[in-house]
Amino acid sequence: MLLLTASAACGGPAENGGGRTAEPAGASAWFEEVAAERGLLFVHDSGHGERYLMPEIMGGGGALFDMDGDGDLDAYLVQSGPLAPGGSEGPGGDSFRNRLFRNLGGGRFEDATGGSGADDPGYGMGVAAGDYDNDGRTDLYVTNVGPNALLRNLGSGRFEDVTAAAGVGHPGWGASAAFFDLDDDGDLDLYVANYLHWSLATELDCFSDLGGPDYCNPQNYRSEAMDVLYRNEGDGTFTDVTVAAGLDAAFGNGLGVLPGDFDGDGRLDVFVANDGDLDQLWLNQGDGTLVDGALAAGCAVDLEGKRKAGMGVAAADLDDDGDLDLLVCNLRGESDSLFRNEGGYFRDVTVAGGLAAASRPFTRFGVGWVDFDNDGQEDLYEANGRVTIHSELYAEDVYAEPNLLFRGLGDLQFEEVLPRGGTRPPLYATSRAAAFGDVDRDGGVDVLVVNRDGPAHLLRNVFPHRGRWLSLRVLDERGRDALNATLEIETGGRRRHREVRAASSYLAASDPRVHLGLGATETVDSVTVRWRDGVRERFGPFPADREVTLRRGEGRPAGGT
Amino acid sequence: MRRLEGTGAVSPGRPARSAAAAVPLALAILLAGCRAEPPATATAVQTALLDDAARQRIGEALAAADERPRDPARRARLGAVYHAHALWGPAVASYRQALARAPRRARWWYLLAHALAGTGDVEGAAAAAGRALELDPAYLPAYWNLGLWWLQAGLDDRAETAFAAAAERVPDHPAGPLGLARVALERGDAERATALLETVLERSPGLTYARQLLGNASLALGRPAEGAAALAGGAGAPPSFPDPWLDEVRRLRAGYRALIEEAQALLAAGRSQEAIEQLAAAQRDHPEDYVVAYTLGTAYFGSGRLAEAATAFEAAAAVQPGSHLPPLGLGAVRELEGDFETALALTDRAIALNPAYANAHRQRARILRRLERPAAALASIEEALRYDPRSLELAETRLRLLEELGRWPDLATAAERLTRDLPHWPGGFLYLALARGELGDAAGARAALRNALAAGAGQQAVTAIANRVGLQPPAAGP
Repeated sequence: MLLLTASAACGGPAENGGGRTAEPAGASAWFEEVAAERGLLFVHDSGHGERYLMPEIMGGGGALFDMDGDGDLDAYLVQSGPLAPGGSEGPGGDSFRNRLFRNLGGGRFEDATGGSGADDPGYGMGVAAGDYDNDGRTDLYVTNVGPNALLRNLGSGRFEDVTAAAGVGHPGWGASAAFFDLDDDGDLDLYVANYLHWSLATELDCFSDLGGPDYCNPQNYRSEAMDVLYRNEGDGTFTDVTVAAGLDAAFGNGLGVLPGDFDGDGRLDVFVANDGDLDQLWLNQGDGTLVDGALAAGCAVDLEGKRKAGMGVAAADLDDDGDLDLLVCNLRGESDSLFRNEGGYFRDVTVAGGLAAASRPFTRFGVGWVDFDNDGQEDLYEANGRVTIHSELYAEDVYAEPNLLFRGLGDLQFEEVLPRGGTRPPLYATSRAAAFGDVDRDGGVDVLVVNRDGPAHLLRNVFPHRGRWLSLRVLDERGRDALNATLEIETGGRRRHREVRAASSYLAASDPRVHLGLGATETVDSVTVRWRDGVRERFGPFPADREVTLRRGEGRPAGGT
Repeated sequence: MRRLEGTGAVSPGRPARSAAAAVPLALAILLAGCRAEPPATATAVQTALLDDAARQRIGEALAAADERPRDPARRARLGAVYHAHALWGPAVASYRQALARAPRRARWWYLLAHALAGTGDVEGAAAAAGRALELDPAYLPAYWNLGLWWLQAGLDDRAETAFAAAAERVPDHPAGPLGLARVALERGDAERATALLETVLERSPGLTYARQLLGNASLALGRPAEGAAALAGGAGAPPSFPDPWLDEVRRLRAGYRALIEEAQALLAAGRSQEAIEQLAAAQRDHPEDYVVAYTLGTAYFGSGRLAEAATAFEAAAAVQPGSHLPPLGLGAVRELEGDFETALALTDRAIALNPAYANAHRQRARILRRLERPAAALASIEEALRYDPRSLELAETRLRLLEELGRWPDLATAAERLTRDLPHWPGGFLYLALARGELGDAAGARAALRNALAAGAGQQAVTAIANRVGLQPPAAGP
């Protein structure tokens, strides 16, 4: 009787997908999608034709970076294109080249690709950003299915392809990549996660749960590809030190890469998210070698022991204890993996953090821990889209899903925000890369989302009544963004730790500026920077609601290491 | 699932997630029914994604249900057919319609729970599974899944109740204590988790999931070495306990993928003849189908029917000449037939098509050993290890070949590395002892033999190596 009553009481229109996203009246959007009106006109094209070719479902990538040093974030969008026209596996034509967009100020963009030299024609996946040659200009490394490309920033919006001279044109299927100074010798080394050994000849026929043709699971190929580590020689060239560093000891279908000091020994380690296999935590031994400590540290798999489909990665100290906590995004049916760094090992706190059930129905790729509402707690954005067809459909694009936005409650606790993904209406797309930065410099961090076979989204932060904020650009003695320098920030009796980071998420590079939400606090008392060589400098105090540049040598000695 | 609506105030800290704060069971079930109702039949778009056989099976079940709309069994069967084809929304709707007419059918509640979980609604799934257990408290798989769903929903007290009920009902079954240990870990009670898991492992030492949880508990207790050892033993995902109700649903799958997967399952279960019958029938219908041809080849090969296997592999190669698998299969056939040169040529062809396929290099090494070319075999094994570096089998084969070739310094280096990577595998220490002994490093050989014993090597194996290198074998001690 009860059930009959229930049935009678229910009903209403079914929403595509599980019918679980009914939006309450009065909910405020956090973002509005403004790509087209702001001139960011980019439509990713996977090149999908008759066959289901695995690379088609994994792109595309994007970066927010300041290419010309004017303080505005420019955008780089990675294109894919046909893999198999007439059986050719070669790169696409002119219409399938990567695009560069110049920020004209205020978050308005113009296409600056023509003549820039940044229009790499490869079958693009992702992009890393960093000043590898220490000239103060941010360079780009583009990963492709096929040879990757290093684009040296010449200034004034021009780039030069120096791949061959630099020796970094790995011919495999590159996914996420990261610039970081592995050996702390003052120049940026390069880590490239490779996905799998793939070619048209080795493509397989696979089928969805529903029985029709679909993309394969990477495990079908049994062709995991070893990642690549390039050591920067400081003269414009790199040396492949993959095997010498010990990366041949373990690898999987690599997708996400995040450098950071996970074990607190002052050396930069690397976390790699692998698709359907053990993740790796490459612990820097300080002698040029890396040892995978993920299993022993409890972060190779989740608490249940599941080898999840690791995609995007985020890391930050969210519990203010001075070490890097970790989030790995995974496939539909698998929850996120939220790991609290307990100083020596990782504890899976996904359920306690409120992410288990909420993340599980979606396939999450791009990811970022960003304080969007400036309340002093990092929120969580996840860019979603399927890799295989399922019965619950959200849009005409059968791979499309809504993205997710979680409000950070502090201490690694999250709560999903509606409207879903923070936009009204929710956006349904096959999202991949998500890059983060304040493109209109209004104190609210915006999101660039690259969508497979769809237009890129530029999500302008429109959260009402955002808290106060401070944006910190941290530059080393050469004027380069001091990647992986750590910041100890004292504000209102709270001590926070943040890191200068461009590489995280999936196939993406984000603004390395450290964005701090301050809530109602009007002043940051001090910022102590620990540079990569261990020297510490103190800066501040700083009043809120402004951008500040911290240059090495301009602070006060802080002592300690 | 927690959601924040709008931009209103959020309570500081984590919202309470206790049974007391949660919706009562009956209300939860009611609410589960009140989520925006999915359509009772598959949409045209969903149907278009199905293959013909699946579409036909669903059509038949739908027609049968529509023929007798008041018959809950037919509606539930329709739900199960949808369920079998991962059409979660229509499955949920159909099960609910059936349960509206026959609300005391525990099995349908349980299947509804799985369908709800398929949509991502774990709280709804748990509520439905709870109802199933009220009606049939004897169905053990429901307790296990119920506990897992409550855990995912963040309601660990409810999960604890479910697992405790399982432990009480079937005390000898690991589901109850495993689940209780999982709850304890969620609560940060690593000591209780450890106690429960050690009990489970006493009874079921091969349960890798228990070792996985124990490893995490050890880390939390500040025992990194024990934790690392348990976790290195192999990440064990949650076990899947026999679930006859769900198996019945799985058997309703139709279509191409179902056929292939069923054939592969039959092959894995050693039921080659049944697999061959299925695949041969499929090949008659789809002679141009690469996957059917290749899988049929593997089925024939597995049952020793080499000539038919070769024919099937050749058919697969004709359909997809760029694939490395058919020539590899054909190479394996020729190898078994004793035609090693042809086998090698075919394997080389497979490698040319896909140089990154570890199994091809493994096969090449095997053939080269048969051709008594151990140096070349070693090179192939090393190539295989490049693409499958975690394979113990490959690593051990490499050590064996180094031994055969008398390359003692290389054997020492390789074995030493393996002892670092796999400190619990005694074989690495035995090979290290052999290499050290052959190199005249008696002290190193003794140390390696002691480590081998500590890692669990048999005294006989240790003695054999000791004798070979002229050492007194160490005795196993406390």
